[in-house]
Amino acid sequence: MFDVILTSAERALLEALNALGVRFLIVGMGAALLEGAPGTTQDIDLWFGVIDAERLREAAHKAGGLYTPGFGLQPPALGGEGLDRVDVVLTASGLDSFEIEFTHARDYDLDGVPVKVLPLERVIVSKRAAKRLKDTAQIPMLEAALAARKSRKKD
Amino acid sequence: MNLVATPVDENLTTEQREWVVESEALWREAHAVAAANPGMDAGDVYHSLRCLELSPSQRLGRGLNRVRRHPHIG
Repeated sequence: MFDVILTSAERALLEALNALGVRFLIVGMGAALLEGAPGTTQDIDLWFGVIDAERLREAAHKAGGLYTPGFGLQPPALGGEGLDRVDVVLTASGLDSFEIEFTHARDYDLDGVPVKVLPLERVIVSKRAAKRLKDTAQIPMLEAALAARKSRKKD
Repeated sequence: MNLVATPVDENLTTEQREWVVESEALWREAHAVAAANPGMDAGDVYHSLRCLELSPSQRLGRGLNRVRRHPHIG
């Protein structure tokens, strides 16, 4: 049995992405939370190695939502009922290429859906590189979470 | 700080007493971790240790639900 955290649309989206062979990484605070950080976030950031509009559109459709490649000031986005807290990430500050980060990602089971997650130490690297005020403010908490993980691994 | 090994409040239920004892152990671990990392907040470590006791889905759920009290659980 699994916990029900995702909306039905989010779950359908992740399942469709996996089924379609679309590679993605959960990054940002969503990744940090999965790794044990006691923080908060408003959204689940998905970093795609390649933006394949056709397959993203198909995955979004299977989840009852939509994919827009973006226009004007609007970046590529997933949306629709139940998908409003999923963000498309195109570039990640301070990290290696998607291929390299994907290779070293951690595997999690999220509500029964297998996902790849950026390790907490890499989230911290990315937050440092972004240099945004809200990212910088989170770093002490993220480092404490990393130290807690290391403490547990010594057991 | 006065760290006691067992809770003394006799009004606690067995379950509550167990929680306090476990919490005490986590606080001790948190302070040890913080002491080894200058500038680190023991409270942050404690809450991280608590989070690590949850399933990954529960961890994410907590972080999302703190922000959004009405998740679209479908």
